[in-house]
Order: sequence, then structure tokens, then C-alpha cells
Amino acid sequence: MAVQCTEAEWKIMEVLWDHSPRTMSDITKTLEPDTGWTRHTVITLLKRMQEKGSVAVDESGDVKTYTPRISREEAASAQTKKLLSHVFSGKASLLINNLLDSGEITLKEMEELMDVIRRGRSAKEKGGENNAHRDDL
Amino acid sequence: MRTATIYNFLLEANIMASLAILLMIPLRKFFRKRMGSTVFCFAWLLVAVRLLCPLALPNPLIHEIQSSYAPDPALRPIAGQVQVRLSDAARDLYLWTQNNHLESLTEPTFSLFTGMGNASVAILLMKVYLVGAGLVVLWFVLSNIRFRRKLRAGRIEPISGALLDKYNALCQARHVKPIPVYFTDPLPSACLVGVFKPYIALPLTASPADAPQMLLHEICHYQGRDHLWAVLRLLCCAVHWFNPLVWLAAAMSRTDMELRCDERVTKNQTPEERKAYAGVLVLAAARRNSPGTPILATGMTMTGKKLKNRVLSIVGENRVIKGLAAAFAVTAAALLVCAFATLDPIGPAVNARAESQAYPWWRAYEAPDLAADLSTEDEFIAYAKTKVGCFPPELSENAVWRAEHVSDSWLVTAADPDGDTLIHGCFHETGLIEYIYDWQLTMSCMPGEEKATPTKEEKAQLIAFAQQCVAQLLPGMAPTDADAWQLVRCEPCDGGLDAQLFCPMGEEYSLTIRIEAGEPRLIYFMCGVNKGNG
Repeated sequence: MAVQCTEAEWKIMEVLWDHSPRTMSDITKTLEPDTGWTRHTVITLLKRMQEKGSVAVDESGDVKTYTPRISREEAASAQTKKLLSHVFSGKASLLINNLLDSGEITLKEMEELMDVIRRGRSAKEKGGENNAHRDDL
Repeated sequence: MRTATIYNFLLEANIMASLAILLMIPLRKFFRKRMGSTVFCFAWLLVAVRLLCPLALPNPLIHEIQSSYAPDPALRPIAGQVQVRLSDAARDLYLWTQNNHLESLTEPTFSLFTGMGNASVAILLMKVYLVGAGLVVLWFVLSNIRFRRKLRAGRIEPISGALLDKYNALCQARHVKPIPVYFTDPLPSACLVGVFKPYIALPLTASPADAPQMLLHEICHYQGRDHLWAVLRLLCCAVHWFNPLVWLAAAMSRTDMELRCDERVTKNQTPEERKAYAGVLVLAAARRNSPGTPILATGMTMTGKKLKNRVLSIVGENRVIKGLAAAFAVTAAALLVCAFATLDPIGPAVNARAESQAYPWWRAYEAPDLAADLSTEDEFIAYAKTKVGCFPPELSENAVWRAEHVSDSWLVTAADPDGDTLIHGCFHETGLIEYIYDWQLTMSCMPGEEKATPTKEEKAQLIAFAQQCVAQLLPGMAPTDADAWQLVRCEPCDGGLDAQLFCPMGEEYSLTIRIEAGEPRLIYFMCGVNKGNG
């Protein structure tokens, strides 16, 4: 599920990914030192996130609790796609080049990235073979 | 409002403002550090005044460029010169296509040339202009509605607590009445929004340390009435949408407004406070552009080279030379007055009369009592044949005639068997002749710098001939007072004398007559100079 989180919503998601379910008061207390947000702010954001589908609310207990409906990986994937399409015209190669040129990616990270690409390619190829086998059948 | 009035305003404002804008480019580049940004904002205000104010002050010097050939005396010298130059260019283009036998281009260039003369091109351009201006205004309005809706949807709550106390203290220190401030998400940077009821939108993600700097920046924008500046920019771009320099000026003035705001913020700040403020700017820039197109909002974002220059300006020690800034401001104000001096005081009698007797341009011109009711091509040609008696007798029976219906008039042409145009005229269904001229004579002697003064006898001969021509061309419509004829221009040509006469009485006539070997010949006749001809 592709859900775009704003920067403020991401802060709340970080809190929920760290540990959930959580109450609104708990979230406010965690974020208040860094952000200065009031309860009203957190309530408004949680309501929006609920409408977007990025958090789920459980009203069965005495107090409402919130859990994330999307994983960190799903949210990161959605943000990456947005970044790719808005900034790099949908081309991942441009993003990689940008990271390399700016020195944002270390040699170790590059090697890890190459491993991931190789694994991904193998999985695609195997998936292709399986499909071909099914076709044969 | 007459088309001539709008053309006067648009041409004068754009020419003068464009010169000023081009001058501002190097001035900003080389003198900003010494003069500060406030004086450049003042200069932009003057440019906006020139662009939006349809004022014309008398200037005797401008009579030197008053063209005698502008068909509409309601056009002031600058607009008249532009029209004459464009007409000449259209004529040259038409002649070029003819000389190079480009048949496919001959017709359209001919239509363009005649359209310049009978104002159909001017009227068409006016319609295009009005549509363009309307579209630009619509785009601005819709963009801002969209932006305001997004901000409204993203509004969280008003600021409160310690931040609100800090904000009120900042307002008090700046002697500014506090306006509402709302946390908003998503919002890449703080902005001052609205014109009549402005408020500040503050990003929800602004840290408690950075928020006061952001608010101070927006307070300084409010203090400088920068939200009203935005409306001025919008108006200039809408009214002068066709001039790319105006759009460039809007962008440059926006930059200068931001820099002026920075100067206000960092005035009396310590170097550490300036660095902190510069840091907030860089952080805001990292968040890139605001949603939509915030034309009527001010924001903190600025990127790339502009951001670098801005940061350097904030942290650097720039010493403004107040005397230099004051001198620049005074000079700019004086130049603004000069930029409005476009009215020719020597010809106001004619122009004033033209304005007061002018018909609205959209009305078809109705001439009384010519007893003609023309509707077909043959009828127009037959009628035109009866009107060429004023022209040389070389027009033979072999001449080829044609008539073309254009807008609400008919263009009738007589050409020789080789296709060279001899006579060209514009006729109305009532029989009124808008203009008619001897093509060959018109092309043979172009207006020059040399002037001539006719003798008393020659002047009397010219006037008598003019009266005779009008009586022949438009029976019953000749001026009753021969003394009303004015000699507009006279110059030597091919051993003879070319003279242009104008009569403001009645239907207002303009004739160009050549006296050659003592004999007058009609070159050009025009009627209804100020009526319905744009």
C-alpha cells in the first residue's frame, strides 16, 4: 500500500515503529521535547494519518491506542518512488549517480548495493523460469 | 476606451519600463553591497508605477519624433512611431514577396500591410491582448485559490505557549501589530499569506530553536508590506503579460524583497545571531519548493547561487553608503517623471479634438448622403472606377480591377496587365471612401528629413486641389471652410513638392498631394482619420 507521509507524520510513524501500540498521550510525551507539539497537534496528525490509512486505531480499551498500518520499508519505498519520480524522472540510475557524485555512499555500501542487485536479478530470472515452466505445463 | 488610448499606454509604459529594467540588471549586480536592497525595492516600485499608471506629461522635445504619417493623430509620438515603423516593415515585406515572386506569401503580406493601415490588425492585436491578460489573471487567481486551499487543509493549530510569547515580543520590538500564526503541515518553509487578512503559516516541523527566526523573517515581510508588493507584481505581469522583461523584473524584485527582509532581520544582530539565521535559511532551502505557486505569499526558500549570495550577504559585513543610495533614489524618481513625459504639447489641439469627436472603434462608420448602397464586388468596382478622376490619366481601360471583402469594408485594387498595383482603396457599403491612393506615387517618394516651404501660391493651389478632390471623391462632404486646411508636411521630391494636408472639419481628411511642373496630383486620400480607425 503506497502511503505518502509528510515529515511531521514520519516523526509519529518513527515513534510507532519503535514501539506500538501507543496512546496519544504517550506519543505526545515522546515527541514533545524535540518538537514542542501539543496534544492537539498530535491528535490532528493522527486523525489525518488514520484517514490516509497509515495508522490504525484500537478503541476497544479505555483509551485509544495507535499502531502503524504500514511498515518502515513500505513507507521508505513510497518515499523513494516519490523522490525518483519528482527529482530523477523515475530513473534510479540518476539517483545512484547523484549519491556517488556527492559522496553520500561509501564503498562498503556500494558493494552491499551490488549484492542486492545481483540477488534481485537472480530472483527475477528464477521467477521468469518458473513462469516459463508453468506455461509449458 | 479607445484602442489608441490603450496602445499609447501599453507602448509607452513597456518601452520606458523595459529600459529601466535593463538598467537595473547591472546596477543590482555591481552596487547592491554599497547601496543595500531597500533602494532597489524602491526602484522596482517606480518601475511598477510606470507600468501601471496611464499618465502622460507634456514634453515639447517629444514633438521631434511625432510622425506625420501615423494615420491616427490620437496616437502619441511614441505609439505613432511604432505604428509607422511597423507599417513600413509590413509594406517592405509585401514588396519583397512581390519582387521575389513568392505568390503564396503575397496575399497574406498584402493583408497584413493593408490591415496596418485600416486598423484591422490593430483591432485584432487588441483582442489578443485582452484575452491574454484575462488568461493570466485567471491563472493567477486559480493558482492562489489552490495554494490557499492546500494551506487551509494543512492547518493544524495556532501557535501557543512559549513560542507565542516569543512571537509577541518580536512584534513589539518591531512595532508591528501581531497577526495570526498557524502551524501547518506539510509546508516546506514559513510564509506570509493573504492580502487583506494576512497570516503567517509556520511549518509544523520547525524546531523550537528555528521557529523564532522564521517568525522574525515573516514579521519583517509584513512590516515591509511585502504581501502588497506581491499584488503589484501580479498586476504588472497581468497587464504586460506579453513583455518577458516584466516577468524578469517581477522575479528580480521578489529576490530584492527577500534580501531587504534579510537586512531588516539582521539589522543590529550579533555575528552569531546572523549565522544562526543563515543556518535556518539553508535548512528551509533544503526543503525546496512550496506547494502550488504561491504568487501572493512570501516564503523563505531560495536555492542555488541565489541562496549562496544571500547567505554571504547575511554573514558578511556590508557597509551601505547612504549618500550613494539616496542619490540613486533621487535619480530614479527624476527618471520616473521623465518616463511619463510622452505627450506632445504642440499637437494637443488636434488630439483633443480627435478624442472629443471620436467614434467608439467598434461602431461601423456611417457616412451621410452619398446615395450609394454597395454590396457586391462588381458594384464596388464600378463605384471605385468613378472615383479615380483625381489620379493621373494613365489608368487605362486594360487595368485589372478586383475587390475583396475584409471585415466591414471592401478593398478595391486596380492593377496594370503586368500585375503591378496602380490604385488601391478601401470603401464602405455606404459609399464612404476610407482611403484611396496612387500606389506607384506613394512608393516612389518616401518621407525624408528634408523639408520645404511652399510659396503662398503653391499653398493656395494645394488647398484648392484638396477641396476639389474631396468634392469629387465624397460629393457633398467637402469642408465648408477652406481655411481649415492645415499643412502638416512639405518636402521636395523628384523635382516637385510633396505636401500633406489635414482638415479637422467634418469627416476629417488627410491628403498627400504632389505638385510637379506646376500641376497638382493626388497621391493619397484618407477620410475619417479619427473615427473607427483605431
